[in-house]
Amino acid sequence: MMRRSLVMCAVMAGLALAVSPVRAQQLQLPDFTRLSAGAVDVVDVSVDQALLGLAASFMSSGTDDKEIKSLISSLKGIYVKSFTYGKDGAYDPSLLDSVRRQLSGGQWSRLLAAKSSAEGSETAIYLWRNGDKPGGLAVLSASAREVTLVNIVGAIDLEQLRTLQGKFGVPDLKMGGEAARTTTPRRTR
Amino acid sequence: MNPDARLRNALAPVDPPEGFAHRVRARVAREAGPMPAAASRRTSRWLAIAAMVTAVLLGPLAFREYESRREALAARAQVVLALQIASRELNAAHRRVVRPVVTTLAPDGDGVSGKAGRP
Repeated sequence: MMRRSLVMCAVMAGLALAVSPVRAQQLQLPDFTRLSAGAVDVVDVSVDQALLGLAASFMSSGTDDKEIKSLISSLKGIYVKSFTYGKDGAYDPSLLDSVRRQLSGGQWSRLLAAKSSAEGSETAIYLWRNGDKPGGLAVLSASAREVTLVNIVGAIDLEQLRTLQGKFGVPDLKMGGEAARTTTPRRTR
Repeated sequence: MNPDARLRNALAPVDPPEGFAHRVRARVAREAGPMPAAASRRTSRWLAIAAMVTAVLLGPLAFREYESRREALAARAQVVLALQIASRELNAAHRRVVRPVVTTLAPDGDGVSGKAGRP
């Protein structure tokens, strides 16, 4: 009887693990109700593997769609939360602590961090690695008026992701003045 | 009777019986006329049943097709939006850590010196 119960428990645990959508590289996002409370603009996107497959099946053979299709082919989920506020300091930065804690341990490693005291903003990019293989990406960006959290589950090509901006009929969302100052080396005669 | 005369006799024109033309016209008019009411009702009933069965069978399929198309379009829009935001954040962070490339034209006109580095 005891043995049978143990087997049942093991089977149940196995099933629970098999059907559970939670992956190590998927952040456990806290309740962002307090963050969204004072926001004037909220973007909340949750695309799991099934939705990614559905979206991919509906993409055309055009260049842009082809590019997205190849980018999302190895992804298991994309989760984006973005809050924009009408005035400075409208949110409590400590609300992001639980996310920061998750990103500071385990298989997450910080790839890049940029902080500007003048603008009161900081951006950090984290990569989830399983050995040498990247398996997830997290971007946490917080400024006085905006908080954005991006979590991509699955192997992602960062360079390919960077080049996506300004495509799909959406204008290039340049941020700050540096972008305008950046020039490409050009030979002139 | 010689064969020639017999043949002429056999092929001689014969007038149709009395009222033949009238009977033929009457029959033609009868057969080309409207279908009997009972047959017409039967045909339209079957047509209605066929239309109903087609609608019952194909309706849900068409609706499901429409729904999945709508869901796929919404999913595609979400994916594009999510990738746009991710790409924007990635570029913003990249711009903050990489100093912009400075381009200057060399005096001889064909040289370019680009300097890039960390701030």
